[in-house]
Amino acid sequence: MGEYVLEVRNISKSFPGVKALDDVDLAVKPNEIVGLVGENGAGKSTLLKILIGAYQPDEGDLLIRGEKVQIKSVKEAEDHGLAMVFQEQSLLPNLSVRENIFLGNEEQFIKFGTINWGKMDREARRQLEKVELDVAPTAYTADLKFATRQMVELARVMSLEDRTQHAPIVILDEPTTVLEKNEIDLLFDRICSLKDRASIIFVSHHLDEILELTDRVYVFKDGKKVADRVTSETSESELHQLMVGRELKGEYYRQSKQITPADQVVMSIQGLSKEGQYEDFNLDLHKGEIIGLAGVLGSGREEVCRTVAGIIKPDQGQILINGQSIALGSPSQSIQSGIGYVPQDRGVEGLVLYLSIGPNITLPDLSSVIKRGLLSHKAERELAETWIDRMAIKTPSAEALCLNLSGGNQQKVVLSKWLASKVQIFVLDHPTRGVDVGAKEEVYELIRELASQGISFLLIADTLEETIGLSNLILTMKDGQVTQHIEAPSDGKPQPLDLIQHMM
Amino acid sequence: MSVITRLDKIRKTTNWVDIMPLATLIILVIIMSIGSPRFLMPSNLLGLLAQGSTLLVMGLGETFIILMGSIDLSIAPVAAMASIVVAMLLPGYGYLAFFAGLLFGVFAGALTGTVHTKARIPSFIASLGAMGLWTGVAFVITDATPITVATENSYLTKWVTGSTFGVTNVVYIAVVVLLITYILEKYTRFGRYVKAIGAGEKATKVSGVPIDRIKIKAFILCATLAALSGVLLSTKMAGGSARMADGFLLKAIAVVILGGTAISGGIGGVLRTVVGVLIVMVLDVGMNMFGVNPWFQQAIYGGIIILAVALTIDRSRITIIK
Amino acid sequence: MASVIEGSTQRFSRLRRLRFPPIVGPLIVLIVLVLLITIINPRFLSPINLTNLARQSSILLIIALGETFIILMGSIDLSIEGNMALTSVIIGTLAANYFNSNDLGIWAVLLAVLAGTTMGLLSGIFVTKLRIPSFMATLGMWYVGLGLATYLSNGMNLPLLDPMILSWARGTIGPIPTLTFFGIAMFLLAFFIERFTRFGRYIFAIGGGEDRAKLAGIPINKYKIMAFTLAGFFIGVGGVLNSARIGAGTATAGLNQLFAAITAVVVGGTALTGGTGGVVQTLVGALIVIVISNGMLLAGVHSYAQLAVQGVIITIAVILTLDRSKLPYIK
Repeated sequence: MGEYVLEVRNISKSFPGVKALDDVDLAVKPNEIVGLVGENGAGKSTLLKILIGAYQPDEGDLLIRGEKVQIKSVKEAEDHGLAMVFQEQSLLPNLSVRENIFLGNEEQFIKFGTINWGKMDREARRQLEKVELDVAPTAYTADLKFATRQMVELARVMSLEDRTQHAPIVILDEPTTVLEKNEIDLLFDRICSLKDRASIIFVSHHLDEILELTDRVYVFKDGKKVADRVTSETSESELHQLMVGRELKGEYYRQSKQITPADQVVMSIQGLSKEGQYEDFNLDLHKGEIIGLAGVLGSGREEVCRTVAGIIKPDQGQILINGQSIALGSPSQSIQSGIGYVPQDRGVEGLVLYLSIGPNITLPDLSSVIKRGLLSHKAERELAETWIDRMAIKTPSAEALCLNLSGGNQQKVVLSKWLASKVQIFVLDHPTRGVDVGAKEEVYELIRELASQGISFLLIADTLEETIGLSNLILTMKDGQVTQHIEAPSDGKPQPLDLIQHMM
Repeated sequence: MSVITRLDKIRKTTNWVDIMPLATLIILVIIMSIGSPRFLMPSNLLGLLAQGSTLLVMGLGETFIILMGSIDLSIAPVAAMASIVVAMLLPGYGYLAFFAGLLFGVFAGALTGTVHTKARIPSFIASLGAMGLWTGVAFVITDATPITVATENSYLTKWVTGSTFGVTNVVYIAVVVLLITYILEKYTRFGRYVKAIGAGEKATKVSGVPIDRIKIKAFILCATLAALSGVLLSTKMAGGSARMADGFLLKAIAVVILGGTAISGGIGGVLRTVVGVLIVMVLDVGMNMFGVNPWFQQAIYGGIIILAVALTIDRSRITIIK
Repeated sequence: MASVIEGSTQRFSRLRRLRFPPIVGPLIVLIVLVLLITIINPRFLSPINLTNLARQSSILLIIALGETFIILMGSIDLSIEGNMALTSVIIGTLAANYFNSNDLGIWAVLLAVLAGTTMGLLSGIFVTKLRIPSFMATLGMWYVGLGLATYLSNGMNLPLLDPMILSWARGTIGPIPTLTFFGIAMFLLAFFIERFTRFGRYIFAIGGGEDRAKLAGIPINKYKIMAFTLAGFFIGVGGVLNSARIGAGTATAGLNQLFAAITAVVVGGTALTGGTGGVVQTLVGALIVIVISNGMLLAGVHSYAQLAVQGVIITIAVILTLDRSKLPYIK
């Protein structure tokens, strides 16, 4: 056995339009805690998915205890002693703790086709002791608190020790996101004591945790490993610096076309709260303004956007459109108030993929193509052709299903849909996700043009650079709260570092 | 599994769902006319059309439900109930009885649709409940014995049973229903939204379409057409009975799916259901001609449904198949 | 991703409420029903009626036990009536009967049950290998079974003569109907399978979260096919016993049993979305269904009204037990 229990060598992985991982290395020594940090989309989760067999790398090798391996499923990863404590917990709520710990590995307890519950109990207890968790093996997971379930999951992972006869390699993916302070302390305590019998990869947005817990830390950026540091020799500010890296590039975001918004407030959000998602959110959006929301996963920015779009009903607060309060929690109300939502999940919420362009554009408002009480297919096709022309949508024909369009062209259809319904406010949730570079620039160009026509935007961008490049004003969010308002005029753009310190 | 994957690919890359039903129909007709030269005689074809009309009316309603990706299992007892309503009211109220039958359909559809959407339970269970409810009610109010309409009232049913230009009126009725449903599907908001719900319910909702209202309307349409087919049956049989529409559920679903409307929703339409009905009619005639036992035919249709669903369903849109 | 966590937390808290679908609830319903009916008609608790109840509930219990395994996975088996028709006609043709000289005795029973089991196996294969929803596959199988049965029997009753088979439904052991012993034996078998075999636990895993069960390396398709096969077996046994009760092999042996069985399962507290509930719940559910129908009969309500009542009960029970967070869309 070599120096490392796990080695990732030169791994690359591409998805249509994006290189998610580019020649990445990572290595973990026995009984080491390795941290992994990076912005959203830096490639962390892609790497984790490769490690547990959910994705296959395009290039590169995986070595476990010095041996080259191919991992095709979570089960195979576990057979190598490599397992993840999932952010979204993988326990089955309707099964007992003992069953969850040994799910899929019950052979040892079965005799004459019958499960020996007593033996499973004893074995489960042994695993639970490893994480010092005092819970009955017969308890149902649905009855346990989140933190306890997480410990059970850790116990499940530690049971690999017996199965594989090796110290397990444990991946912890954002384990502290929904934990209380004392629960976090407890978790860290357990992780430290498990260090003697396992190796750990710890992924977190919270740099203080990384600094507290890990021995070494890897920094990812745009699908590349940009640095690895011995934790004791680095600092929070250095890690911030490494994660953000490069400077803004000139005219990519059409900054020179950025306008100064009018004084007229088109949308005013007042005291919006939703338990567990965001709290007391306030915002004034002016005519022609682009406001960017910056924040990591779980900051609540997505939920705010979905509330404005009418998909989430808030507990408190109101939204005024041109001074008029609107009904919340209904997409049709938001649309009638002139709000168009461009969702993150384009194929599910943005477009009906199995309809062609015309019907998608007319979905919110059919009235323009209804002639003498009947739907005119001719008028609809003409409308589709108009928008195909105006937005330069590349499609084999006006009748082609949206399923067959590229990401960028699909996004243009979504935008056309709302423009055809004459919305005044766009809520853009990752508008350039899965869109190739050329098409991205077209989208930026379009956003600028619309803003100069007086259309306003609430924006969640794909990267910090995009947020900074496009916005007039940036609101940073953390744990459901707005932490800072940062002005971003075209001649005085803030640096990514200015934002990131308010996000993490 | 690999066969299924290959099949999925073929279905994706070609428009075989468009072509297959029509090709099947043509092949069946050719086989039939070789087997029996009498098959293509006008009188025989007209007889076929008359037989298929009631089924068509029922299938057209179910088409809208399946287009949404839902299902209505209650159509046969709804038709039976309508036939009973007609048979009970015809002697006393004359033509009003037919409206009462249709009105029952409106009510039944509204009930299923409302329970499905407002209580948020799957349509197959809401309509299964309705199926039990209406079957039970039908048996209770008829005391499990058919109600016959006395022959002196038969003038009231002439609008269905009579002929115009040598064709039974029921065929004209079916054609009118076809026209109306075709217009509904192609040229109204309702039809567009039904298709959009089936093709992508989330995106449709995010676009502001009132999903629940459209779904309830579709269930009302379906049950009303089921009731109409019950009314047509009652005139043909000169009475009403709880067993009037036995076996229609299977065939009504079969004609929709055989026509190429996929159970996963969004793809298909009423014209395809016409093709489906023709396929079933030709199959019926064929099996009778070759002396297939009528009971055995039912078993065959059971198998055909499974096969047709397997051929047309879009598996990429159902992540977990329960 | 925060919303995902939020979602799973919500799912957990909702399940916490549903976990051990409070068997207490259905049990109270059962007791209240018994009290209510007894007050209205004291004959309800007479020994004769109790014997009747025990007899009636046994067959329903057996088929509902089979259906329980399917619903626990979140699937459904609509082919019950077709399955029972086929098993009934097979026993009516192969055991001693009025119409032919066959007299295979216990072999006829085994062959009939085998036919029922095969129906289940086929449903399972269609669902997993053709990858079509179980309600469509079993809807097809319903009519395959029913059509075959009616064809084989020519739509007639085939009166049974085999004394052994007839005694199963009509005889008693001591004061207790023999049929009840069948019910108890099948219940114990189902209980054992549910609680003490890997198969039984995997059924819950599949119903609790098929995607997660798959991550744990459980061969989902294999266990689904096994579950449909097992359900076919239970329903087949129900078909044989119901033929014995009717005294004939007939394609109508399964008439209205689908409703009664699904009602029993969901009223007991097994959620249609799968993962929660079990055979104990089904025992209570089956008793509720039988007590209601018996009570209605005693009250002189039309026997056909039961179907209507069951239709309503199914719907209400599903509304109460369904875990909607598991369904991305409700179609």
